[in-house]
Amino acid sequence: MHDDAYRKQLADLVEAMSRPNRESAVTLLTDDSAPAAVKMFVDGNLDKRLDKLAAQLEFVRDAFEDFDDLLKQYIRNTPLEALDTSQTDGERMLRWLTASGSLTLVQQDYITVQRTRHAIERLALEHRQRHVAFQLLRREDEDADDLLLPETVVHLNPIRAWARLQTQALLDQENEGCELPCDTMFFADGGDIISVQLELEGQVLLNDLADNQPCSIGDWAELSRVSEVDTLIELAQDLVELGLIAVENAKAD
Amino acid sequence: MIPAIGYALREQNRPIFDDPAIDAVEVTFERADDPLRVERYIGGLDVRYASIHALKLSPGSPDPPSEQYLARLKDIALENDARSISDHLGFTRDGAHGTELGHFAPVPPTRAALDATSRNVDAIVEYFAPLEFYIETIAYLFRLRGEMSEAEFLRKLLTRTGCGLLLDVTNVYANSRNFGFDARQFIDEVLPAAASVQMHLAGGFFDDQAAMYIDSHSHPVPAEVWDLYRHSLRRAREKVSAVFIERDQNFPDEAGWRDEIQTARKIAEQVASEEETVLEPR
Repeated sequence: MHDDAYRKQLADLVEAMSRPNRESAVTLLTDDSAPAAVKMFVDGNLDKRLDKLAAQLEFVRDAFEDFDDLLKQYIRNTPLEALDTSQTDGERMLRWLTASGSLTLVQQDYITVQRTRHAIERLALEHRQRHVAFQLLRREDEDADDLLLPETVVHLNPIRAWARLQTQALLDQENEGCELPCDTMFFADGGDIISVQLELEGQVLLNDLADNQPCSIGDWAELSRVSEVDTLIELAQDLVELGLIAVENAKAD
Repeated sequence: MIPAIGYALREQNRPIFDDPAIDAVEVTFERADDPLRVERYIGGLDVRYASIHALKLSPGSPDPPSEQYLARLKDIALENDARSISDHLGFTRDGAHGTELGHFAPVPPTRAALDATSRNVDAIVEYFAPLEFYIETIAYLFRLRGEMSEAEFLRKLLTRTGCGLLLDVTNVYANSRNFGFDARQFIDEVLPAAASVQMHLAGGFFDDQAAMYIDSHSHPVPAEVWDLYRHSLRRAREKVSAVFIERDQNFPDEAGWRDEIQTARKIAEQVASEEETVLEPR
């Protein structure tokens, strides 16, 4: 009963302090505490949440004329959940926007890209050691400037996710010709997230690599039934420059 | 013994960590917790004491902190060679599956709250071992009714759990101004119960409209807080492991950063020399 009563007490307090203009519902204030101070606390928390959410979804803002109003509307109607972060709060707002059902295709693309970025961050968190190891390997590549050979071992960036874009709005200029809907790969590039559009053939080759990496370019060619290894070496070179794969040459004794 | 002394790390003060007066750093967990970051957050900073400062353990909640959050905190601590982790004595949510306030509110000083908080702190201490855990005195805009004073609650919590105390000197100063109690008496009542002590120093401002001193980390440490710091060092003596100055707004210039940390060190050295004078055999 002791614990249950405390749980109920905190539930009532949090209920009253998680929404604006509920300060009068906060009971248990000491005589020297003013309801105005509770209002200051609640308003301060809501302002901070608004700032964090606006920063988290800065990219999406461009797709909406009334984004500030939408932010306020969302915050008014949706309290933070236990252990929410800016990212989980942002993700929930994107779902809330999507559920409104009145988004243009361009707005949907913006939301898709932002949600894919969140997915990349979650992956990096979940596989932090693999993320760090891959990025360090990439740095060694930059320093070594090695030639790629059939026996060069390739590693695929573990922090990657596909997104399907329905319009040209967010496609790079050189990929504006991409047939719609356009599958785009997003991946971690150091501390950033970048994207690339690959033709169907490239997508298949990457999927083969994903299932079998790390492996040598020669083995990759064999399992993907690419007859000219040099073609794959050229692709690998491009992907190394993009940051989508890292390579490891056998050390000479 | 002189405690390790440093700043809560911000990009604005990173360049002055070469100052010989600095040998400690505090890392705010939410700043370091960038999943895409490749290097550790403190980078190559050469300090003898690092601590991770958390915001969402919510030890005053009825449920224990999530294991995922605990694990992430410990990972970041180990990655940055931290010796301790700290968080605030308050609650930010009503339960594991409830609602988040966004900022910590003061716990009602009741026996039920003390039981729940002690249970949570015990679990936190156990999880973080061998790293130390410090519980921080918060600044509050309002207080909740209870069955004991804040000092008694804190003393009992420290005695029951054996965790460290992060004495935020500015928070105690702000609370004493806003709620009319004696800051020195509060410190004197609480410090003996702490097995080990860290300190926070910061500067805020007096909000005329609210008629309250706000701990905004936006101004230099005021003279009254330096005095309380000196008093706290004298009372806690060799139990003080580290002192951190916090600044989040109106950042000073380089001379301002250096001046404040040098003041913190000078006071600690003065207090240590007083101890030596007292302890030296005749």
